Amino acid sequence: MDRGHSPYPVALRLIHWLTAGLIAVQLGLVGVNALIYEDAPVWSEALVQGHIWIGLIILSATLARVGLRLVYASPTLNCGNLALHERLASIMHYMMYGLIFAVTITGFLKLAWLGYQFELFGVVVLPELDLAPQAAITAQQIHTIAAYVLAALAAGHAIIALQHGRLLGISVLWKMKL
Amino acid sequence: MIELSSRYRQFATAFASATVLLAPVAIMVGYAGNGNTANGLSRVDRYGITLFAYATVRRSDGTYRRMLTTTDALAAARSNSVLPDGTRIFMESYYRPGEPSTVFHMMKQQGKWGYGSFTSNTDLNVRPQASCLSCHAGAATTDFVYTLPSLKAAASGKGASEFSCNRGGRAPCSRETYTSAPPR
Repeated sequence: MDRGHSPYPVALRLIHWLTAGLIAVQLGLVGVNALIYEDAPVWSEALVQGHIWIGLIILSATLARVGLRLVYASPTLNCGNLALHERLASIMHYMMYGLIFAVTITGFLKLAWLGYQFELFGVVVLPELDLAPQAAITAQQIHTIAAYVLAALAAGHAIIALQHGRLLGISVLWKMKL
Repeated sequence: MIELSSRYRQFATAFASATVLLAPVAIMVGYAGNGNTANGLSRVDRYGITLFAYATVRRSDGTYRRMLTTTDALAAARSNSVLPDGTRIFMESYYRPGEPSTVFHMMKQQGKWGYGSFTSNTDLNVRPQASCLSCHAGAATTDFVYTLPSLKAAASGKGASEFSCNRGGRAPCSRETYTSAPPR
């Protein structure tokens, strides 16, 4: 489908910026928590609760985004042969989608395998799993590594998007402009 | 009879007097230090519970953490690799010597650890906390207690452990911290 220079549909653009913002918030929460957890454990727990629920929002938003992307194709650049660049861009996006799923799902699995029960306003929202400490450790390791790789890719993605016009003479920012 | 010089007699008299006078003080100090122990561990009556200090983690910036537990936990740790329900462990954070700044504690209930903390007002309530669970996941192989080997060593009469953490401030110490030194 050739969408010319029309940007992504509004829902996709909103989800993109929501996800980007929330990932930045998640990294910030982890950093702040490391500084305060010993002096202010109650606030630390509040931050971790925020981290959990923001993670759930990111997971839901990404599922919705993937669903929408199955319906809406990426706007084309109409600028000649950029097959290699587009392939690289696709690989990067697939990796980021995969990492978002990996980070969020392993985050939930880690706590669930440690016996944590996810409740929202007193209602259990995720099924309770049997204790599996070793699996929880593996999930934690994947969660941490995948989060760092995702942060690095997201930063790379932002830099490439911002520099695309200067490097290749073709701006791509209009695709996601709000 | 040996003839002693008057200078030597004066010294001997002073030494004997000092010994007689200081002996009761030494005995009292010794009693205070060693009388309140179990398995050579210092006894601390705090938070309405009798606790025994089984490990200290010293940080590079001079702050330290002291681990305490109950006699029941010590008895249970002697023979069990998994601590039973009712086990309480306290971690006192000292940013300066004297009173602890933050006290973290954990208690096992129905096979799972509940966590709590307080500063000035003692609050022994515990509940599952994601922040605590996340950190303690690293000690999953030792019943989620980083210092379980020290606790078991203390329970078997090897005394309290002392560890050195090369991280200052509030940064969590690595798991290796708790295995880097044998119990004292």
